[in-house]
Amino acid sequence: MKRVVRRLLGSLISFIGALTLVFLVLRITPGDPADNILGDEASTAAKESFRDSLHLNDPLYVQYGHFWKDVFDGTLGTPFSVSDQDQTVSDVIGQVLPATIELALAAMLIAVLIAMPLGVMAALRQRRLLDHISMVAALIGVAMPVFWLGPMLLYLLSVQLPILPDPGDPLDGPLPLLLPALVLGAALSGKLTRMVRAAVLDVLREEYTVTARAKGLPESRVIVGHVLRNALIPVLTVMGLQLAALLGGAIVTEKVFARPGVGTLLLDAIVRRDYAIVQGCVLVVTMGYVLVNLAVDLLYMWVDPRLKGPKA
Amino acid sequence: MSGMGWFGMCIVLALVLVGLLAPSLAPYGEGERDAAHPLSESSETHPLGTTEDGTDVLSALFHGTRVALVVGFATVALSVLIGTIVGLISGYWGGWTDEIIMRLTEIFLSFPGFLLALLIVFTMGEATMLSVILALNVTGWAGYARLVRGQTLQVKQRTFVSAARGLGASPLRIIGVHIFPNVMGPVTVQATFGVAGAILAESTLSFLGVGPQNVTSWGALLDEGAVLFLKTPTMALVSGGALFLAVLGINLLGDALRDRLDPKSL
Repeated sequence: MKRVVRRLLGSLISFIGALTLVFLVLRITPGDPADNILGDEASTAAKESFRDSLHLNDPLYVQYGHFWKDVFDGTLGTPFSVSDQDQTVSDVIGQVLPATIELALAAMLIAVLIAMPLGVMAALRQRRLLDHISMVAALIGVAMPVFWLGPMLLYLLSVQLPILPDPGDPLDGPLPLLLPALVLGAALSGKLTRMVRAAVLDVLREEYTVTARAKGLPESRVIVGHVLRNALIPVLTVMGLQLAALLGGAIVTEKVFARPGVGTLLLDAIVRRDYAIVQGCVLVVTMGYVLVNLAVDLLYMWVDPRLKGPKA
Repeated sequence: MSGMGWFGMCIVLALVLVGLLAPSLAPYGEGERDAAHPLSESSETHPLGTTEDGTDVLSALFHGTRVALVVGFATVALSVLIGTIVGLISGYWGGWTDEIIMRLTEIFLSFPGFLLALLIVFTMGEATMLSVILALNVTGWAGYARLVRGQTLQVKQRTFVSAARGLGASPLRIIGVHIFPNVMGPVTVQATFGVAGAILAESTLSFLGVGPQNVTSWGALLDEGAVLFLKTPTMALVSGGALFLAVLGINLLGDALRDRLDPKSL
């Protein structure tokens, strides 16, 4: 229990720290933020309203107070460039967030479906042909940029083997989710496959695996009951950490497939120089990242009783 | 070193050569445009064709190698420098110093670093290579700090450190002469992978349109190429291919280095 509380406290500190970091970015970058972000051509009035909306003329601690107020009342501030004045930043993000979560979950699922069997088989057939093939495939996955794989896949599917409708036509059915998730998932699966293989190899060397075999358990029970269960623990952590890569990748994937989501919103806001929305997107993703990693750690303690520490 | 390791080493050496010799290898200078032949196919004057504004794709590829390598190496060099100093201090002194430094480090690690870099680059206005390098370093150092601290804690326990202390060596001497050389193996391995990560990050920023302006980047070329993929696939194919090859080569080299320098880790 003590460990869980400690971990929760750690997350809280990380959360406050990470958000403070986002707050500081605008305030400590050199130059006048209004000039930097809006550009030199912007009118004096526009710059003034930019400073007003972010309270940049107030002392730093007052700005910090406003920043946390926007976080706690759940609005995350007011967007600059949205015509509907009643919309808050979180309203705007809330509209597209489900699409990004859907993409991230689908991609993670695909990555796991590729990495688990491939990694386990590679480990069980260590230094044989299957192992080498999987490792080369994984390495290609690690090095393959999402924004290269995406256009190539589209080209292949819609021009070379015309399975898809004409390029340019909007996709329908499950494709608008499936294709981006496939690309993102494939890119993610590289690192995950290597992790699964390494974790399984580690467990195979453990004494309890030797014992399980020695007492005559069928190989399938050794693998499923002893090896996989224990190998899953480090893999779970990596999946949590991979989430950062996943979110970065989601932005790029959304751009490649012109799919609405937090990524497209973020890029759109960058073009329109809407700082409030850019900051809001970063805040939402950061919160999600901290929360998921907390969840993974708690799950980890639940799966591995050794980590609960001495009984409270 | 394994065959794969050598292969990776060859790719990296080839890239470094191309990067160094880019100004003489490239048929056209950086920023030079053939406005009369925009979006041309492969021809004698432009072996890989041109972009929409008439930039020679082959030259852009060479100049882009330079940008990728400079950003990749400079980012990691700075991260390693900061991270090593912070990690050595934290691990050697321990106690409250360690507690505070590691709490801070964790905050930087609990952040999707790429997004913060994106926010910083956006906030700084028009991006340059320097601002991208700095932005990637805001969170980049933290991983090295944690690694060096962990290694320092281990090395600190060894007999030769106690011996040096018994002989009256100053903390600075113990850290510099006895601990530092012994923690550099794993750092070198992580730094190698870090270069690939930084190159990928720079290309991604450029692909998203917020990378360094006024220089040629593979990512920016890929961005334009991805839009025009159906018309002229060459642009995206070669720029993405260069990026893929660079990341692949560096990863192969990193794997080989890990087997040699840091056999304990995965």
